[in-house]
Formats: sequence, structure tokens, C-alpha cells
Amino acid sequence: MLLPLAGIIFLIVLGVIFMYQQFRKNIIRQQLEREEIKNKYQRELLLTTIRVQEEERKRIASDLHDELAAALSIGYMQLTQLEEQKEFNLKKIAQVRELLQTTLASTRRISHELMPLQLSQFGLEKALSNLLEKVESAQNIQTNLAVSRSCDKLPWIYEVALYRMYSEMINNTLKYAEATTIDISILCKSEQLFCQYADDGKGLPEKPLHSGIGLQNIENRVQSFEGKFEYGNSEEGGFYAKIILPLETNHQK
Amino acid sequence: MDFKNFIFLFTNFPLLIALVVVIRNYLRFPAELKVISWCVFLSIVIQFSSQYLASQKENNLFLLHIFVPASFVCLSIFYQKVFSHFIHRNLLWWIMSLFVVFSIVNSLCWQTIETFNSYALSLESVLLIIYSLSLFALLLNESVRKEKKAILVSLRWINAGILIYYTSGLLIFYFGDLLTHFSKVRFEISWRFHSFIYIIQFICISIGLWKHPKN
Repeated sequence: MLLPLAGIIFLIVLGVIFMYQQFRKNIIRQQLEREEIKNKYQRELLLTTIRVQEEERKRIASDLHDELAAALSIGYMQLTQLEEQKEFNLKKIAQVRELLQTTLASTRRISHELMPLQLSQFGLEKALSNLLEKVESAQNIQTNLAVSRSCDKLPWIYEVALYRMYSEMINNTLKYAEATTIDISILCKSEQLFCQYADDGKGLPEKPLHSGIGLQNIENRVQSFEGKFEYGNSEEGGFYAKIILPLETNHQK
Repeated sequence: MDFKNFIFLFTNFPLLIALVVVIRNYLRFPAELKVISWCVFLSIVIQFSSQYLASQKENNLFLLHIFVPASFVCLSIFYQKVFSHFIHRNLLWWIMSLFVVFSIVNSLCWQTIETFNSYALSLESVLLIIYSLSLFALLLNESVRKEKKAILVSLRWINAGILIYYTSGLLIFYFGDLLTHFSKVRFEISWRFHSFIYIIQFICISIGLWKHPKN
């Protein structure tokens, strides 16, 4: 009577060992697959970074070439003509002065696009506020910005990153969303930075072929801070994004 | 009311509690807990039918021949859903199909519907003990715990209930044939113990269902 019972216990033990082996095999396979996906994702992020850098360089080169270089060569030609004419031509000098003024304005614009003056002089809140004012004046969009007082003295690297990320999202809203409001809020709490963005536009397409370069770029920046980035369509239909960045004390202001 | 009747009646309470939890939360349950809900419904139907037949002094053993394969199918689907990413897709389906065939053949040829189907019950218990011990072994892995985080507490309670019931029950089912040769008193004591572990199982299942993921 007890021998079959011992056999049953042996059978149970064998069964559990068999199942455990199956689990182990599948868990290892899944871990390898996850690693592969992670590596592929990191390669994609690296490629995106390089692509974004190259595009930015191309844009700057194009701005410098088309605006500054063209204006300066016209100025050079006009000054050469004045020199050859060897006479005092007030009209020509005024033309050169106007040209130099335009060139100076172009230089300022290119410089501000590279690094907004408000950001370096007055901080993130002022820079974002300025950006949103421009958006409101250019398009019929109502904007709301809420930055908690605890975020007054953010490290410089965070301010630049947040400004770039919000610029990217605002740009997307203006390009694709047909939104009427944009809400931005930034809160610093428990050594973390909680950032939210929402619009009431069309939201993301249901089946996007891939996340755009802009969103990939944001993901890239968030990952460099070891933060979290979540985005999608809100229940009301618009686009939303949540960014959580850990605040590290070793980042210098 | 004597102890025998008390146990007999008290067996229904945990079942009814589980039923209330199921009715209140069925739509919010994840797929795994929905399968356990079917098991609760099945147990209630069989329990009340068998009690009615017993009160009419009629043989209710044929219900056990329905309950054994049906409960095994429910619990196998439950474990299939829990193990889905960690085991060959068709393994549990194959075991389940073979068991149902064995159970039907057993009821037709060896232990007919008027008798106690101890072979099928013992085999069911062995298989479910293997599944439940395997689930506990699987939950030792941290990545699995993370994946099952939402229903981890429910899984632990339900799996504990199944393990307690079928491990204790295995001995009763295994020695079932032998017990019928003993005196009626000893036979009844063992079935009171069976009712007791049945209560424990449904208390564990009720807690598991109650602690379902809220979001």
C-alpha cells in the first residue's frame, strides 16, 4: 500500500522538476530576447542622436551659408564697388549699413535658436513663458504654464534639456495637432522633477508606423538622465506626456 | 446541531462568500481569476446538487464523475494562463485532454458512475499538486514576480488553497477504496476532514479573489 504512495510522491517530484526545467529554459530565452530588444533600442537611440546632431549641423550650416554668407558677400561686393568708384556715395553706404543691420539680426536669430537668451539669463520659466507667448501670438492657441517655486534653481543641464523637450512637443502640437490649448506644468518634489505636457488636439495616430524623430529625441534625453518618459493620447483625446527626471546633486548649475 | 452537521453546513459558507466576491467583481477580474470564478460556479452547482441528493437519500456519486474532469479543466486553464509565457503552449492542453479521456474511460469501464472514482481523483490531485508546486517554484524568480505583480497576492492565496486541498485530499482519494472497507465511523471521520480542507481551500480562494488587482 505504501510503495505506490512512494511512487506517487516520486512522480510529483519528477513532474515539478520537469516543469521547473521548462520554466528556466523559457525564462532564459525571454531574458535573451529582452536583452536583444534593449540592445537594438539603444542602437536606434544612438543612430537617432547622430541623425539629430547632423540635421542640426546641416540647419546651422544652411542658415550661415544662406543668410550670413550671402549678406556678407553682397556687403563685400558693395564695399568693393565703393572703393573702385573712389567717390563718396551716401546712398550706397546706407545700403551697406542696412545690409549689416539685417546680417546682425540674422546672427542674433541664429544665436537665439541655438541657445535662447532668456534661458541663459533668466532661467527656464521665463524662457518657456516667452516661447508660449510667441505661440499664442502666432496661432490661436491658449497656453498655461505652471512651474512650482521649488524649481527656481534647477541645474543648468536640466533647464536646457527641459526647454528642448518642451520646444519639441510644442512644435509637434503646432505642426500636427490642431489644438486650442497647451498645458505645461513642472514640479520638483522629493529629489525628482515631474514634468507634464498636454494639448487638446488630435492626439497621436492610432497605429503610428514609428515614433517620430522628435519623440525619439526626447526619449533619448530622458534616458540620459535615467528618467522616465510616458506619452500617449489622453482620455479626452489630446496628446499627453509625462517626464520624471531624478535630480542629482552632482549636476553643476 | 452535532459536529457532523455543523461541518456539513459550514462547507457552504466559504463557497457562498467566494460566490459573492465573484458576482461583485467578475467583470474587473483578469483572465486567470475569471477561470477560477468558473470553478467557483461549478463547485457551487455540484455542492448543492450533491447535498440535495444526499438529503433525498439518493446516490450522488455520479456528480463526482462530472466534477472531477470539469474542475480539472477549469484549474488547468487557470494554470495554462498563469504559465503561458513560461511553458510550451500546448503542454497543459495535452495533459488536460488526456486526463478528460482517462476520466471518461475510467467512469465507463473501471469505476462506474455509482462508485467512488478514486483513480481519476488521485490522478487529478497528483497533476494539480505538480502544477501548484511548480507555480510556487516559478514565483521564486524575481522577473516572474515582477511580471505577475498585479495578481501576485491572488495567485499565492489561490495556489495555496489548491495545494492544501489536493495534497490532503490525495491521501483520502488514494485510500478511498481502503476506507470503504473500514467501519462507517472511520469513513465518516475522513470525510469530515475532507470537508474541513474543502473549507480551507475555498477560504483561500475567496481571499485570493478578494485581493484581485483593483486597477
